Amino acid sequence: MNRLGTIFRIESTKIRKRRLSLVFMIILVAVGIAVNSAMWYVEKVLLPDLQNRMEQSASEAGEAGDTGGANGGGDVTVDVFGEEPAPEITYAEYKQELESQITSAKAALDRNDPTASDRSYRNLLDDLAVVDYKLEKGLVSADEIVPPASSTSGGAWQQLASGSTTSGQMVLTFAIVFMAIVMAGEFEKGTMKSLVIRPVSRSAIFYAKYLAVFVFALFLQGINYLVNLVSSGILFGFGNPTEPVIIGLMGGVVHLPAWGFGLLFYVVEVLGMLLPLAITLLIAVATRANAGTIAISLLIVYLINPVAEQLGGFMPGIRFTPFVHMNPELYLVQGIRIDYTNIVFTIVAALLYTLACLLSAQFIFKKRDI
Amino acid sequence: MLEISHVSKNYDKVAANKDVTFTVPDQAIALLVGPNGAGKSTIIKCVMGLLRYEGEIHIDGVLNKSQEGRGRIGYVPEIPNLYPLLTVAEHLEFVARIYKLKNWEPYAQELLDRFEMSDKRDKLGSELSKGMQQKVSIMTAMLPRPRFILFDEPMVGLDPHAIKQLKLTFEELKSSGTSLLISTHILDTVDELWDQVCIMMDGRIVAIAEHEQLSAHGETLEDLFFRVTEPYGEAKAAVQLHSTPAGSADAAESSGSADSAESSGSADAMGSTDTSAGAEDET
Repeated sequence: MNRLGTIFRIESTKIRKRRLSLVFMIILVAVGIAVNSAMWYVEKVLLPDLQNRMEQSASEAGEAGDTGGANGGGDVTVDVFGEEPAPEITYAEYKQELESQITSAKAALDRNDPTASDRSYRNLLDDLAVVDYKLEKGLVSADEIVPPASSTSGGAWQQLASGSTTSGQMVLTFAIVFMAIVMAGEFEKGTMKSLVIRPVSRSAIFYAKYLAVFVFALFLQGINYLVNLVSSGILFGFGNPTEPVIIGLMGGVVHLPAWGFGLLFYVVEVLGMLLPLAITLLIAVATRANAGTIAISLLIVYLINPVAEQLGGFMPGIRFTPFVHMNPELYLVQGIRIDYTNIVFTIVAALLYTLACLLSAQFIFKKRDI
Repeated sequence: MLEISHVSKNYDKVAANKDVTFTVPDQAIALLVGPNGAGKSTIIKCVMGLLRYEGEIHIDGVLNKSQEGRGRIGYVPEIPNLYPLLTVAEHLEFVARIYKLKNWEPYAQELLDRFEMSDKRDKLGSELSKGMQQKVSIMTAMLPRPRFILFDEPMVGLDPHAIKQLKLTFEELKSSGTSLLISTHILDTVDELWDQVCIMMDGRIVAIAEHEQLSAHGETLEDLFFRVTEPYGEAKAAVQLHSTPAGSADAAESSGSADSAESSGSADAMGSTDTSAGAEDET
């Protein structure tokens, strides 16, 4: 254990001393500030301007005698795929609409309608659970208008809690690059030899490298969150960190202060990195090629993963593959995205696949010639 | 100290080491020599536990692949594999920590002084010349004071002063009870140092000789090397070239090399386990 700590320390030192680490940190800070600034510009400048123009056009059209359609409040449609309802709808109407859609969705599932979607049905249940909870606790009244969705309306803490950190995938990309460097890169440079001849088990070397990169990823993700919190706080205001965040999850609700939800999101997001990093490590010990490891890993994360998630609606069996369990944090903000899964299923599957990848990679690392 | 028993290693269908058996005694400097492709690097990698192989290797009675075994062996590779982003001091500290050394700093400083690297202690591995990297590699191998150190072409890249210093170090290590196995193909740089030589060819040990025995027969390491590693004609010519400045063929023949080159050069004829047979049988 002590020697594992020594290897971990030396690996961390090597990562810290790389100029690439500094470059990645600078990129994270720059992108975080740039994206929040762009959001501020869109929300505070472009959208109000667009709204003014539309209102102006509408009033000009009204003056011209065109009175338009007869849309009343009751006709407002609601996007039921886990998103906030359209404006101008009360909580009572929203609840009624949700119940109606749940009934339809359940009926469609019962008659095996090919258009029926398990995830849509269960997302509706989660939405209903949130509305019921808010009404029961007196957090909202039945005739209160459901506010429009806006990630920045509650300030920086709410933005953090809504999972709007802009660079989560970027952090994963950086971590993949470092995982390839510390494993495949050492094979390429020959420095792996001077490590494995030491009186320390290859397993300790293997796990020390994995942990060192994972801890570096935690650190980068921390920077990412901090940059987003500060930059959006400056641009939109910080808001109240104790303001409650309520989401529907697995038929129930999670009720946390904004800072606590932000922390939960951070924990789940970094947990979600375990699997892609384990896959990268497996590829690294199998190929021993730095560039190849990075290329294949990024292909999995940015191509196979999204494609597999899209196929999740048509192929229920895909939920048993590792490729749809790389973003568990999205369950907290987007609801269920793969049929017949939930956040627990995804986290457990991700951990099992992580373990399988690590054990396979460890076996290869221990048994192959160096 | 080092016992290699019936070690064979195949790369796919190519046999790099065939039933290699030899022993390096305590407090001895042994040479491992042989032409390119003889299998020296492979047996070194086997000793260091980098490769899987058939057979057994023990260091001081302990399996070489065990943590205890690896704790008793030091290794200086031909190409120094330093971490580019660690300083010289950090390399030494890393080794001290991994071997759980106590009060290692004075010895580390002694090594830095001996190899004239004290002023380079804060230099990164990537900032060092190849010779300096080799010095750091040697220092990191020596720092844990292992019972056995394996040097793979240690003189390559070193300046004359460092070579002289390294030779002194070899002697000191030996007198302090450390055994050394030095793999090299530059025979003249180590000619006066060694106690035992193991000559490899075609993946086998083809001759093992002791320095005293060889000297007693008036033969040099170079004579022996060419006698056992080259075909008859070439061996004779080589011995003439290297051993007899006047070009007398009699000198070569008087040492028995003409007849024995054929038998010694063949691994099958010699067998790989004949300690000192290479030298004794020839005379």
